[in-house]
Amino acid sequence: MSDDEINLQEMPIAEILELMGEDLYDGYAEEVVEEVNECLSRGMTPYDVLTNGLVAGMDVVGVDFRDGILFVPEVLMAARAMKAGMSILRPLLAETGAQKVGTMVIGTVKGDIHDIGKNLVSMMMEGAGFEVINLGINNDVESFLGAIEEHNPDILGMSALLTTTMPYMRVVINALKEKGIRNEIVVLVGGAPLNDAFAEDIEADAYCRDAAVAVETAKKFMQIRQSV
Amino acid sequence: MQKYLTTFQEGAQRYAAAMSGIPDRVPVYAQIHQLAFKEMGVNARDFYSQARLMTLGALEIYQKYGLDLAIVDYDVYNVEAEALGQTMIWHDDGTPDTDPTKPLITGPEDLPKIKTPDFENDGRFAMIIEAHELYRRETGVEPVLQFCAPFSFAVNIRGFENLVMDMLMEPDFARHLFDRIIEEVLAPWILYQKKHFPNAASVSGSDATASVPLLNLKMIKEWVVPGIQRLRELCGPELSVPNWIGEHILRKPEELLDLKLEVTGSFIEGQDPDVENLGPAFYKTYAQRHDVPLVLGVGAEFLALATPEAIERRVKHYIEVGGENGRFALYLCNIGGNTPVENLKAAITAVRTYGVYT
Repeated sequence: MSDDEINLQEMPIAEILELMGEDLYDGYAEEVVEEVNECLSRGMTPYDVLTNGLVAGMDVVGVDFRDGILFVPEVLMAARAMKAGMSILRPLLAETGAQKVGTMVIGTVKGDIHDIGKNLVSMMMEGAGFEVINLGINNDVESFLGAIEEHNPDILGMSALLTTTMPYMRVVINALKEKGIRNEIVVLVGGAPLNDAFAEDIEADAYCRDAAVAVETAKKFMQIRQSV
Repeated sequence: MQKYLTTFQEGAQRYAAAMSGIPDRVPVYAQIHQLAFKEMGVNARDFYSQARLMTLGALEIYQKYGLDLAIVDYDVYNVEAEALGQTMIWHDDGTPDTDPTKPLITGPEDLPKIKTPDFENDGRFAMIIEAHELYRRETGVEPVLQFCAPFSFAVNIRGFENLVMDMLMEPDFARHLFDRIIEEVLAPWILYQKKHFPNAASVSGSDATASVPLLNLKMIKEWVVPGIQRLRELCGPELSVPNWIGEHILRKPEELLDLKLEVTGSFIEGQDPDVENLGPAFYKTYAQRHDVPLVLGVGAEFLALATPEAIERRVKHYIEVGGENGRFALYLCNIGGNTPVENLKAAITAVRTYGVYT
């Protein structure tokens, strides 16, 4: 929102949160920062600003991306605005000890350097309130296992764009089994050549066809984990 | 000795006939470089850096499986970026890649790195020329000259997210980046190739990254199309960039086809998963309405993972619909190193069975 007429101080907090979602959708980082600060100044907890403002806005972005209304550039802009808002909230959330939605370790598998989709998942998961450890590209088993040991994530995400590299996901899952930790972590896989049948075959928990579906799926699994 | 003379001259004639009317049979061609080095049992590093291995090995594969057209089949996205100094990742058993974590261009101060290469000494340019000369000698066919199109090239040296954000937030910098890529590197490289092969009828750019949803239509129209049109001005109207995908995601898929037509001019190409989702009739209707020939591509993932029976059915379907009244060719998008050869054989057999015009 770039309308100079808007005076945040005079707006009810519900309207500011709504505006925050709209500005995030439109990729207006500076405005989102102003709105986050205004909400905090009125005594909202950082966690409530995150969930009712930023995450709610990113939810709409996710739905519209899934439905072909938004494309990757718009999502990148929204993620940038989200990041700007989070730069204020993150230290406050750490101070207040607010509970995280969940933690995800994500990486492109060995032999594969394609990272656009994986990075998009990473951004949208952060937008949904997850802590994301993005391992980058070309990750072997040791890289994934090391990150799991270090960060104890709820979710492992693996990405591959090539039919020649996607079988490596099975290698990683087998390594999780050998270490006896397969059932402790949700494994989500994605990438152009994958499908549900492949995910089932390698014993991943789910295939996610795009970043929006990854977020929806991750949330569902987190609900299941938290209800157990 | 021109070992492949008959095979590929016939194939080239068949393709030419198919583009202008009704040939004896639907022509079929494919990208096979990953299958080639695997079947040859050679290290991928050697394959992609030695003209003889790359060219003669691929020709052997093209002939073995009965493909009509051969090209000098290489990692076309990498050559220009590598020559400028972009960090590469080489694999023993896979196609080399540019390293997206180490972009050559980190900001405006790096723009001078985009300068006209020495085509005789930098990177693999000389090897590519040698490969095309070998191809022409062995097949008697003029090669299709190739290049990495401006947007995909820019992604390779700047990084995708950086580049998109530049286009949205720092458009002046992005314009300078594209201008230098086009004027300093791509146009000189294409003209250098044309000097060596003045009779080459086709110059084909690869630009998979400029697809939907990685870009929206507005950005393709405002940033991608003008760059390719500028290259056409500089290098000739035979230059085309046919391989964007993503129309099936759009509410009005023909809008992307309209843009494709602006950068190919003489034909329209659709490939899976778009053709799978929209159906071949959508493309045939579009091609007929614009009076251009049609190329339909069977997807790489489908070729790798489907059964031979499913592949036969899809090829038959695409040919029956797309091939009606001619002006049609079939493309097998990429035969990866793990694509079962039974699947490739099934596709070729289906073309030979269902693609004959009587």
